[in-house]
Amino acid sequence: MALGDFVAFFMFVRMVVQPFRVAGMIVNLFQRAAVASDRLHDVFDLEPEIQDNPQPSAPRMISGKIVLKNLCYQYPGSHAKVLHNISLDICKGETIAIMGRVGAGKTTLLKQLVRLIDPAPGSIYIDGIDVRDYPLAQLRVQVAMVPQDPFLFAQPLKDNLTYDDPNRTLDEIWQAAASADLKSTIESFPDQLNTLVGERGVTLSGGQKQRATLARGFIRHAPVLILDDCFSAVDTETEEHILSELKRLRQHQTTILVSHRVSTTRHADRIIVLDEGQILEMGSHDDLIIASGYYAELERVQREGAEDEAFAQARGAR
Amino acid sequence: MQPNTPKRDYAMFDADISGAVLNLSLLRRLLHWLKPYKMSLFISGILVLVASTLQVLLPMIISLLAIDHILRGTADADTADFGLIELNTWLAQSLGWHPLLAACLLYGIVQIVSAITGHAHRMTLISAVIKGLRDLRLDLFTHLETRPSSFYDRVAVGRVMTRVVNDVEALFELLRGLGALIGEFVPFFVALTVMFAIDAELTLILLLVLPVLGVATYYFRSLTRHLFRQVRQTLSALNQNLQENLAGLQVVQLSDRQTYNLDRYTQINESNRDYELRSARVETFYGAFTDSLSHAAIGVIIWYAAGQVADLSMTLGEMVLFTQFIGMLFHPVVVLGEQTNILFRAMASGERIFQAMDWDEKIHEPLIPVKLPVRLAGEVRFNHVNFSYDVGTAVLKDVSFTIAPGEKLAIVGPTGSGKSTLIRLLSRFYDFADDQIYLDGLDLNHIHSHDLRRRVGVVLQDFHIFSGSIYDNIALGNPNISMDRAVQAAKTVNADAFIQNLPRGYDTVLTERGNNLSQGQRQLLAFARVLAADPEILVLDEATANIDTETELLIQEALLRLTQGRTSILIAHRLQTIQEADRVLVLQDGKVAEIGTHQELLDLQGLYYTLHNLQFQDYDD
Repeated sequence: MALGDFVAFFMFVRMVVQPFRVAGMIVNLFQRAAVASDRLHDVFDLEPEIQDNPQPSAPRMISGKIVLKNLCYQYPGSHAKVLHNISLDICKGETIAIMGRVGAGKTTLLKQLVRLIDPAPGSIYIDGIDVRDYPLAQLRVQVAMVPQDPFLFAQPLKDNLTYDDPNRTLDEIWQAAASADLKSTIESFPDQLNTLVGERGVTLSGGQKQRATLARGFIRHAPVLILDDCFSAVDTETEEHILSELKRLRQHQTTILVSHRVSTTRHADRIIVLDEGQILEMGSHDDLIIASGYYAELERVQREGAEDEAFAQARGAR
Repeated sequence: MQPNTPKRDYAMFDADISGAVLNLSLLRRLLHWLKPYKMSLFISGILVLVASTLQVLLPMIISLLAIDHILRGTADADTADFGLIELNTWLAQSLGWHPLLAACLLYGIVQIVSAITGHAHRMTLISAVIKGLRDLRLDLFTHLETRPSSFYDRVAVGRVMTRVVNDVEALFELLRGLGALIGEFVPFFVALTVMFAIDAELTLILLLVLPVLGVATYYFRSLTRHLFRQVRQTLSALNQNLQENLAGLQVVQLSDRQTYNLDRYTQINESNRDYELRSARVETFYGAFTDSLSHAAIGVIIWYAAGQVADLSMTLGEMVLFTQFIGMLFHPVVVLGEQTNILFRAMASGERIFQAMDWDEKIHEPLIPVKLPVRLAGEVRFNHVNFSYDVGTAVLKDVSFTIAPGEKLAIVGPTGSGKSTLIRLLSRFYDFADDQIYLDGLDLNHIHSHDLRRRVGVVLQDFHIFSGSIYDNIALGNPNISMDRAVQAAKTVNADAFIQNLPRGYDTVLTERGNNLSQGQRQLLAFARVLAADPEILVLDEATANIDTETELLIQEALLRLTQGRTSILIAHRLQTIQEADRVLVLQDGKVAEIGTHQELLDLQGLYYTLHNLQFQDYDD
């Protein structure tokens, strides 16, 4: 063996050994990648549950007449029905208040109006057309819903208020803010509309968040506006102001709102009391008071305050 | 004792610290936490010296021993061989082996011992560092936990958490990186010494390459640092975008923003791809460059040594040794380049940690706290209280009133009138001047806050649930509150019924945000918590959230029992709470506007009358 071969041999040994060391690492990496790719495929394989009808109705302006025909709903995997045979005609321009205990089916009903969950075919019509036949984009632009949970993005307030359409004018923004009683709050921030919301910026109180989401709903002037329990963290005084604004702004437009307070619902054209997925009572404030049912009992209890006897009667009336 | 509150710069907790300078005082401060483990660090230092010296011996076995001495018999007697040749001759003789076989054995032994000492070095170093950082993290937590709530009013919790979690982690990287650098530079100097001993001229020529490599590495690193930062920023923008889109999915769909958001995501995604590609390009180029440089150096060695070997001033083995040492000479520079980014980032982390450690805002406690009697009567007196959070804007102005023992006082007033501030002062979340608030005639500033908080029970609007069982959440770790006492308290405030209905009763574990409880249930649980602690004075900020009527009745009844015979201050939002109070205090713009019974104030037809009519007209007309 020549000396040169010997030296070359020593140098080559490393090159021969290296691939085996790397191979060990690769096997490990390979296993992890296999798991990751399985999980990715699980996500890709999910079909969107709510999709546009392949033959959607032609684009049109919604006027705001809503008809529910025997609306039933049952969450997948659950045995109990959340809504039973709800039938209801809502006229254009009407203000409807929905009341009911936790779990009565209020939110489930509202979500179906904008197809956040899909109703059964032929159970919800807007302007005589099944909601399932509207292109989703069309439906959600014209039926504005403010959900229960006041979610704001970690972006400037302005971007949050104009989330549906970033091209809105400052005038529109301030008007919506004023209607939601948020104007003075915004004015108290040094950066006003450019105030960053969230951890890096200003932390808003529950009431302020709720008013911001209300403004986000008002700004859209949609033919149908749905407010899902949006006054819960707002004090009575502010609520009063917002409700009168609501009345003024939406005189000829349809509004549906959920509330626990009689002071809120009494302003509605019609009040619907839901209980265990069914309409228990329906009518104007005065009608329901005269009917002296559940609603009247609630009104009395909220007016007079706590008394064991009233509590018992409220139960009996159900 | 007028507390002297300096203007504090809370904004610095949001500021980005670049850490672009090597801060030695920072390292010195860090050493404080490593001091208890200096023995381990010392042993680790010895071990790294041994391991690196052995690493240098390995190529010498091949070149000087095997090639020069055994194969060619031309070993240069002047060249330092660390006694390798003698050791090998002895080994071969005592085993009766061929010297070449003995050299192989020697090589194996040195390799194994070097690997073992190297491993032991890393383990002792890392364990000392981990232990030191454990202590640091604990000290940091203790420090942050004892900051007053006024601190957390101003600083985002997420920012503070980053300091405890990420920044301490980054310091770990720093100390480990320093360890790695030592492991690189020790062989560097040993090899350099040997090389000088063999041929000073060639060594000097080779050293000329180092500045070239150093400058190239510097430029490469500043280029990649910029690119890596962009990669990180685009990545975190991607994360944030995704997180928001998923968390706010309902709003996204209701606002029909899917297309717009997808466009934004695409944009960020593409710029991320661009930066990734660019940094990959730079990275591969640098790899090729350093490889070429070391090959060029080998070329220089062979060209130079060819002449030397021919006239016998350098042996063949010495030439081979030089080529083997090239790696040891260049690698430290490459590693130094790799580590600098980590070092500087960790430097910034260290700075942030010490910034938090140095934050000395605290509630001033009395030097000699007064001893409180076993049971206070419960008289509370506000004596011309003036208070402002920031210099300038007064939140409370000359507020004076007295609550008799056992009295129930309702406080009403518009948002921002100073109601919550009254509560905060009474529970001493903030510092205020002496002679302002008295408890049974004792100045609040003379009572230690620990003693005070046992006597003043506070129910805030938002009931904080700790992860743990219902019982844990009632007792809050107070050993005096037995299960029986907790159940008794829950029964009194109407919470027992719903708790019994939970799957595991009082042992049901609550999630941190309490998602499994309704608003009303949380309120009842909060009552149970405060009742179980049985404070002499109750402070309650009534929740404004709407609760269904049945639960509302339970809450009102519970409140009645809770305040029975207990001095109570209630920030009231409900008419009934106000009517059941003994007196009502109306706050406006930080001043006491009116005080008296409900009926007295109505008769007065003042601010209370107006507020009352505005808020409760629906019920009273």
